Amino acid sequence: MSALLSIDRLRVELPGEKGTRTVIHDVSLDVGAGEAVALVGESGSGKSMTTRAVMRLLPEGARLSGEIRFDGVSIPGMDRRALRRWRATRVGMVFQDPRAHINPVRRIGDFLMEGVRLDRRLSAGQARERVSRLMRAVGVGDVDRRLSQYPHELSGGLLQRVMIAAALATEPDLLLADEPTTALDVTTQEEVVAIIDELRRERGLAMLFITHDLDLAAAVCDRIAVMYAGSIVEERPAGALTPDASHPYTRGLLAARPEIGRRESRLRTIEGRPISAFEVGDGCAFATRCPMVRDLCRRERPAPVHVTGGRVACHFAGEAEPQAVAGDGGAR
Amino acid sequence: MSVLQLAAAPGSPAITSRDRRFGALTAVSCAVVTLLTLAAVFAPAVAPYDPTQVDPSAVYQGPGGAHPLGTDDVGRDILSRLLYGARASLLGPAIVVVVAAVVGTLVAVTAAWIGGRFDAFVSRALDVIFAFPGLVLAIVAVAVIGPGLMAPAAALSISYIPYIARVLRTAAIRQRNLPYIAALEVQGFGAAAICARHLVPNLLPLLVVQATVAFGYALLDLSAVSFLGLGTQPPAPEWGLMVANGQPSIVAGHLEQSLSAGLTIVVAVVAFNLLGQGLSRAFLGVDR
Amino acid sequence: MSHPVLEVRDLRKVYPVAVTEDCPDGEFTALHRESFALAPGGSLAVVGESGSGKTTCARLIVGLERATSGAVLVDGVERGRGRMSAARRRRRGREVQIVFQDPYSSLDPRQRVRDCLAEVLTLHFDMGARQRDGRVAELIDQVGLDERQAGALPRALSGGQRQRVAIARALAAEPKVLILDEAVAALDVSIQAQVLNVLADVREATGVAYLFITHDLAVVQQVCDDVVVMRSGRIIERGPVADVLERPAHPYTRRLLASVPRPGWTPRRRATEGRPPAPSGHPLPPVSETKEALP
Ligand SMILES: Nc1ncnc2c1ncn2[C@@H]1O[C@H](COP(=O)(O)OP(=O)(O)OP(=O)(O)O)[C@@H](O)[C@H]1O
Ligand SMILES: Nc1ncnc2c1ncn2[C@@H]1O[C@H](COP(=O)(O)OP(=O)(O)O)[C@@H](O)[C@H]1O
Ligand code: SF4
Ligand SMILES: [Mg+2]
Ligand SMILES: [Mg+2]
Repeated sequence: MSALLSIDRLRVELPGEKGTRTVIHDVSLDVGAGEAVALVGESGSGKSMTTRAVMRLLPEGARLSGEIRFDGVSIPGMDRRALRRWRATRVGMVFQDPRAHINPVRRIGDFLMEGVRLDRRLSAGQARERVSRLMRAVGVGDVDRRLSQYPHELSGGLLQRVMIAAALATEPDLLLADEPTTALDVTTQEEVVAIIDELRRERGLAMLFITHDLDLAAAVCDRIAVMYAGSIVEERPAGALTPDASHPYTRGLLAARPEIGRRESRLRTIEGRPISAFEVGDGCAFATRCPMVRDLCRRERPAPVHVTGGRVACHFAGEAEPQAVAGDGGAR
Repeated sequence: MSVLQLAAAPGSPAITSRDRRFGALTAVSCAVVTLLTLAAVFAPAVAPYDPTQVDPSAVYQGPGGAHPLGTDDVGRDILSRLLYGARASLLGPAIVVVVAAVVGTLVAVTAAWIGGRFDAFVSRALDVIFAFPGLVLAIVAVAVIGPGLMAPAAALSISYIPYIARVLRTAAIRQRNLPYIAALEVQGFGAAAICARHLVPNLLPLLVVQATVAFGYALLDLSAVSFLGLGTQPPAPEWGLMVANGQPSIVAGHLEQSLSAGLTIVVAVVAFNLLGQGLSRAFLGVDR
Repeated sequence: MSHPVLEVRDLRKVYPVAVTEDCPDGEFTALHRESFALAPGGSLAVVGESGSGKTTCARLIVGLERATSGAVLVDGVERGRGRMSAARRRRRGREVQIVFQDPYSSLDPRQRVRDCLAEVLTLHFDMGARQRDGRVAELIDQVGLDERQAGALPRALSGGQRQRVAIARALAAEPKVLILDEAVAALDVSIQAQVLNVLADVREATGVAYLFITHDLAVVQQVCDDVVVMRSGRIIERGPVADVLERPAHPYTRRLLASVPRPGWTPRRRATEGRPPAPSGHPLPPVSETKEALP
């Protein structure tokens, strides 16, 4: 199977105060046509940077190596015109903070019309018709009134629906969703992910879904890639991850999250704080926090190895954890 | 919201790590400002002549030799007059800036803290003062009080208050609404203590930037007042006054006095301005 | 139940807003005459979607905002309001403290952790320098920070560490009640767990009572004994956490519970929107779009 989006050994370096800093380290990931893949990780792990690299929206002075292909075409190799066309027609993007990405002084209708008319030779009437259809598809009632309103008159949840409508306006093949629900409360989050999920299935859209919530990722994606410090540490089918996580970091994340109906006297924590890619030494990025760390881990960076349905980058993948550290220890 | 998104908030590491070069231009302007200040302080030690010493035998001497910048129409050494002139020329703006900064900060912080109608009233009042040209106010002051350094300096102090207060008020309102101030209020600290110990210190970088730039403008304004003969009175040396004094000689082809004083003013104003911008980049991470 | 340490009686807050068609009288009621009580050493959760009035309630209790009507009582005594003497202000500070959501703006950027705590101790307690330093060290240890972090400026600390400093600062006043307004919402999953554990330890060690504000029901069950569920400025359900989570009585509570992602969960669309936007002119996000579907 050749993937729709294929990221191959992506590496991104950004200029910093003291020379360049690596923020993405050797990320490889495929998204097949119609497939939904989640990128899960804590703040600063490089999830957004990965999507920005795909969209060629990296900050000034960023250095990229490795290859990103869409339908076989190299994205870093595209010229300006091809890039603009590709962005306008083949991918849609939804951001965490819709308010920051919608021009506050333009009406919702104008914002959506712009997207719809970007590429296709639609008449004004056809375009308007399509905008209305999109708005209804994302669950907005009273379309006409909404279209004449300004972004500040809409709640966060409603605005995120408008963003989704805009992302779908040109009928793309791939949806990039960067924490589309992190700023929303749980009920609105459910609503918005349900809309994304439904429309994606209806239209056979591929999706790269970014979140820091493993359970949320499992609910809407086919595969999950867990990122830590600029690398993918584990990639598994969504169903396999929760019962059978192999990487100590994935296990830690799953255990740290309080769960309804499971009250423990203490939560299991991952000691320390998440580090950035440029802080990683020679060994395993997770070595500073790993309950299973051994000498080998500090010396050698683990290469991804295959496990059922996916891959894991850990020298001791799948081994049981030493009991002494289970249950406690992380808080201090 | 994720932590990284929050990290982009002002005052957080994301900004600290931003480019904060202390550019070459800033270094030069800093050196110029330092030199001018040193000249004012150590004028008696470094000036080759008494700045008011008339010497009929050395009228209109060209630059070079015993008088590096030449002499004026009554034979006074221009370099010495420039060096001594730094005293009056810098003292005036210093008074203006110190008064405007102190009063402006007080006004801005009080308005930001109390808010509501008081704040609206203060903003309006500042707008009104801002609309009044400082020079006109200075001339009125001279008409009432009489010429000299003090009248125009006092008038300009008032007209520079909005220049400081408007910017500081906006920043103070932003600080006022940050949770750390609310936390201090909940602890039981009084408003005065919170402002003096936390709010104002956090405004200081902005205040310094604003005051530095204001210094340049005040210098220019006060020079203009002296040029009109309303500020420092002859024979005391002052740059604006020197420009005016040298005027009659220009027709005679002796540009030295007006030119050197005029250039000094321009260099000083530009230096303060650039320094202000450099400090702004360094302290606040933004271009003004 | 013993005498409550914190009691909220018929608390009501009305904000003046711009007159619009949604808000013809120019008033918006953020909290409708609600009451609840918190037992000494207890832990009460206030849950609800954004805009339901949780923060308003917290700000009224600590006195950052003045109630339109109603009262806040600590140990049965009504809290002072308006202008007051320095001594009374300080006494109020020792009753209730608060930790805010955003760890990045909750600390003075120019103040080192140690100085921040010392300043609070000096305000509230008459103690010598040695004694004060000892207490600072104790607080720092209590929230799981180390010596190096104690000497750091906030910008050198991570979000989770800053939030611990904010907790330590609140505890420095030895309050009877600590309000946590979405205090772990901005933290990473692994850090959130650390801070929740710290909170559990602190309650055990000091007997401080928590008013824990959140929209995350999974977190509620980890740290709280009782819960009140809020919606549009009203309390719609209350009870012990175990009961409410197991047998939610109100449809909205069920809805809130059903939307927490967990293994095997699938998101469902429950309604299309229909609610008009919130009155403009206020800075907070309005109530979510799902409300009209519920009775
Ligand atoms: N403009 C920038 N300049 C320098 N470094 C940056 C920039 N943007 C991001 N970084 C760094 O790149 C790394 C990855 O950031 P990224 O935004 O991809 O994280 P993320 O996983 O999306 O986190 P979050 O969950 O907070 O959105 C981090 O260490 C971050 O500090
Ligand atoms: N200063 C204010 N002026 C007008 N309305 C406000 C103000 N502060 C809060 N509100 C409104 O009160 C309601 C409750 O807000 P809040 O208590 O912050 O909610 P929560 O903390 O539950 O998210 C919201 O609808 C909000 O828009
Ligand atoms: S390689 Fe070692 S340190 Fe890294 S995750 Fe595996 S066991 Fe832990
Ligand atoms: Mg991100
Ligand atoms: Mg709130």
